[in-house]
Amino acid sequence: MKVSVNWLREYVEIKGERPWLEELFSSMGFPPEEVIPWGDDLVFDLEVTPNRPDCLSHYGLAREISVFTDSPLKRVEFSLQEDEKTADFPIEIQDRGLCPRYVARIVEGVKVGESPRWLKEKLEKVGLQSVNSVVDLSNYLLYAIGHPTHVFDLDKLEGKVIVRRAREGEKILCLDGEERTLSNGDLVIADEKRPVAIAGVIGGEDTGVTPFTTRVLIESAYFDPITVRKTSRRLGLTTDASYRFERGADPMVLEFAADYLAYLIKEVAGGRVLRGRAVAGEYSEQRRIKTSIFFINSRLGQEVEEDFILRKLRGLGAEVRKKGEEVEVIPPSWRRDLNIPEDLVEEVARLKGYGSIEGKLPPVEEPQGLQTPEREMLWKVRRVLTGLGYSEAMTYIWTSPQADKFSGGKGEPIVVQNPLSKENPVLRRSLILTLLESVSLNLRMGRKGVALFEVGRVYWKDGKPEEEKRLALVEAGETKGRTWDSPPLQASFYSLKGTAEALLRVFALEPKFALEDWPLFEEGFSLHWNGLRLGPIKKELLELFQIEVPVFAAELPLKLIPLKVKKAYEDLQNYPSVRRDVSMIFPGDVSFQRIREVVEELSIPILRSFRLIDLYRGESIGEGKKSLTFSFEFRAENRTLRSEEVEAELERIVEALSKKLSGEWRK
Amino acid sequence: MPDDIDELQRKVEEAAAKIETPQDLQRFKEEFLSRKRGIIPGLFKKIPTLPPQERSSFGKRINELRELAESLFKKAEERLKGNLWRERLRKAIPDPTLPGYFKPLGSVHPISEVSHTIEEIFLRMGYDIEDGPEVEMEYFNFDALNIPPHHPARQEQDTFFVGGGYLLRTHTSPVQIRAMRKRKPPIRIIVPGRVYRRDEADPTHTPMFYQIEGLVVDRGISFAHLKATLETFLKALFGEETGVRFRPSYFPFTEPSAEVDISCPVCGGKDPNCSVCGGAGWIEILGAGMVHPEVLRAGGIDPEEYSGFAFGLGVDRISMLKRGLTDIRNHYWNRMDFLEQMK
Repeated sequence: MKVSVNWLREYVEIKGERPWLEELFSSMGFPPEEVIPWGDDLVFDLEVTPNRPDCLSHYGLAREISVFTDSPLKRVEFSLQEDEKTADFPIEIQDRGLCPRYVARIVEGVKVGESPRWLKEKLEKVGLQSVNSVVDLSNYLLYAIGHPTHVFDLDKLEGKVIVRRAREGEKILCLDGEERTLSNGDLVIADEKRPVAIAGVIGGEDTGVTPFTTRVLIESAYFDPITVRKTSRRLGLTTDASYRFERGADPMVLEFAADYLAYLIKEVAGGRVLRGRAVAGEYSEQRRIKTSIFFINSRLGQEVEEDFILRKLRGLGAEVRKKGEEVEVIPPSWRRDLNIPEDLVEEVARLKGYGSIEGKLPPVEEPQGLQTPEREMLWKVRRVLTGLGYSEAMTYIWTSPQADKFSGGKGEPIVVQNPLSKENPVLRRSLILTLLESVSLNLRMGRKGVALFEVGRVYWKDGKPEEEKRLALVEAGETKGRTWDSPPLQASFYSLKGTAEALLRVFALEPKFALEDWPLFEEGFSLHWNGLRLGPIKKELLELFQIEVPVFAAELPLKLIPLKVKKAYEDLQNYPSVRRDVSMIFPGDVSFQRIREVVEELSIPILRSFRLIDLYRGESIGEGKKSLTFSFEFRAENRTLRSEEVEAELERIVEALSKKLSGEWRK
Repeated sequence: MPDDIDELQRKVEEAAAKIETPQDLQRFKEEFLSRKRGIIPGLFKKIPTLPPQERSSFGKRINELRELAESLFKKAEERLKGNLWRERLRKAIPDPTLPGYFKPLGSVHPISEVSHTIEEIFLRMGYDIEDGPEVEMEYFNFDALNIPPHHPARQEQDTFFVGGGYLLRTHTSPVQIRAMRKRKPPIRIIVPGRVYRRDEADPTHTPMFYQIEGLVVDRGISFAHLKATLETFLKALFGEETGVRFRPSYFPFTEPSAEVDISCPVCGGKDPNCSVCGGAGWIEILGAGMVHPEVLRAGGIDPEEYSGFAFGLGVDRISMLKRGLTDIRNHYWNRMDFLEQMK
């Protein structure tokens, strides 16, 4: 809200300059967003929190300043000269819940014209444009004392004023020139024929004050905050009035506001103020907060003197009674935010100054978080993968229905009802889908190689929403860069598979992959083990992301990785290991997986490792055949191996491979 | 005769210094040390021809010369072996100023890294880490946090709705309620995680960002405890010299509520044109307050017996502050060139 310092001075002494004011507003909880020098004045744009509608006016803010700075508040005083004629105008409230009280004043013989300079200038400072003297005064009143009022051209009202719910589909042409269609949830002010204002939001064009208006009816009412908010939200229309009503107006200021506006109109635009007010409904409230000095101080964690507390609470306008230990507080009607003892704790802290409360660390009797296994596991994952050259990504979770079709996800997709981008309303059921977006961006930005991983969640619906934490890896292009004496290393299926295997090995997992098709991957190339899937991404999916190079990806549920790793460690004795390389020719359809199984079935205790070091196909070994070279490492932990023992085991291996898989030893 | 020996010694030394190839080496051996034709063994044959009184000193002198020649031979031989080794190296390292091989090293995401640092500080203070769903029930995200339907705070946090009373959580605060229902006081937790608000992406907003929530519930927890905790944390994170300022604010789920500023880590409040604090000297860093009794009640905790404090901070903002970055979108574009700076 925009605030003129000179205007504030009409109600309270301002004891300092700009920095003093900035500090003061901040310590109240209304940090200035902008300060605009304005001739001999300063205009502050304050961020007033939604719990403090009472500070959305100059008088309200001055009231706050007076308590903070111990300066007296100058009350708004005027003497209203009333006419002989009484203001007996019929007002009917049909829904007391939404409008408990409605007060009206009538001024006749008004000459509506241009506003005087002082008025125009004040409105300009708070960001309003002048309309005419009467409308301007209503706006002035709002920025002066905070209560929104509305002024009707009385001659345009047909019959009485009725406060009622709108009829479904009822239309009203508003003061801003727009016609709006109302619904049953809205509250309107109507005459006997039609709605003439949307209560607390905006007036109707037909009954507005024009230069030809001579008789006006001033409305000063209290409207239910929730109703005003709903209507304002539904219509997408926030006005100075709705902004205040939806935060909570002061229900006890209605008479004062009506009188003051009548006085101002008479002063500026002339006319006669009819005697008395037309009134409907009544308002009373019983807010009482019971607390104690002990409670306030124990919540603050600091001893604030009783004197200070009681004096300041009274300064706020509250009635404060102390009976024994108990302090009973009746908050002022304008402070809608004061309802429970904790609210008073904040008031005391604010008035004392948050800075003056001395910090004290809470005692820790039982430390928690001594073990955070998932966090440690994730950090290990990050360490391994970054060491292998992958960077961690964090991608947005929204994707397109087209991409979702490839996800292979569980259940039904969750769709955002109000997405930011209409193309991407679906919550991902695979991390790979959103990682592809980042791969695509990197390639488009000229990056030659991409290697990313993400730890994140996937979401789906199975009756109710479900989510699962996952880890995914993607690689594409020249992932390892290139050097001046060797060709570039390209992203590949086996590179990715090797990464996955290395990572799992860290957690003592030995995957036994099976070939299994999956919607994300090209048919015939994707592997699966315990929920871990990897393969080359389907071309159709890559096309959705305008990616023209192969992308290899893997994804696994995080729960696959154990939080407590059981690894068998062994002490080494210094006996040397023996290596033997063997080449064998196999029929082309024998998979490496089968070969490994045959070797493992032999369970040779001294065989420590077994690697494939060469793969060859060519005419020299016969059509449809392949030659594989294995490297076997033998070692015993209690003796130096004799060469005969090694040869004997090697022969067993070759024999088994020959018998079971028709391998021929290529000597 | 002694002069001849001195002359010969010079020759030996000169020849040894000139040995460059295995052939040179062989020639040196043949010329000076070969039993049959070598000059030095030849000198021994001369001993009997000398007068008896000179024989012993002459013999000693050529013995010394032989030892010298042999040791020069050995040294030259080793030098040649070394040369060969270096020859091979020279081929392998044609120009030591050529660039080293590129070792691709990935990097941890900037948000993970900052979150890890923050978690570390709270773990040391005896906090546990808690977690909750991102597709959250409207009730936990709003109602249970004292934000009833049509509360203005619901509009301030523009929300992604997914139907059936569920939404994408707009803050990590719903985990407060879940944790209170699951644990018994004393509760001391932080909750790191992603949150979602329907904001178009621009340099200071993204529809997804990362928060860390904190919650402490115990008997006698006070505002002074909150202050000291956050002061301790912020000084640990930004440095001992950091100024910390508490300002009154409003959140429906805390009472009293506070906004916390730190002194500008870039200019310390000294630069009126500072790009980070705009000359204000202070930067808003987190929101906090004493847990509202209604929130405690929603968590199944009796506000008559217990009190608590809570705070929430944006990890993105801290990441940007600590690194002097100005465009938050970089956190989620995942450009390798950006991420790789984080090593």
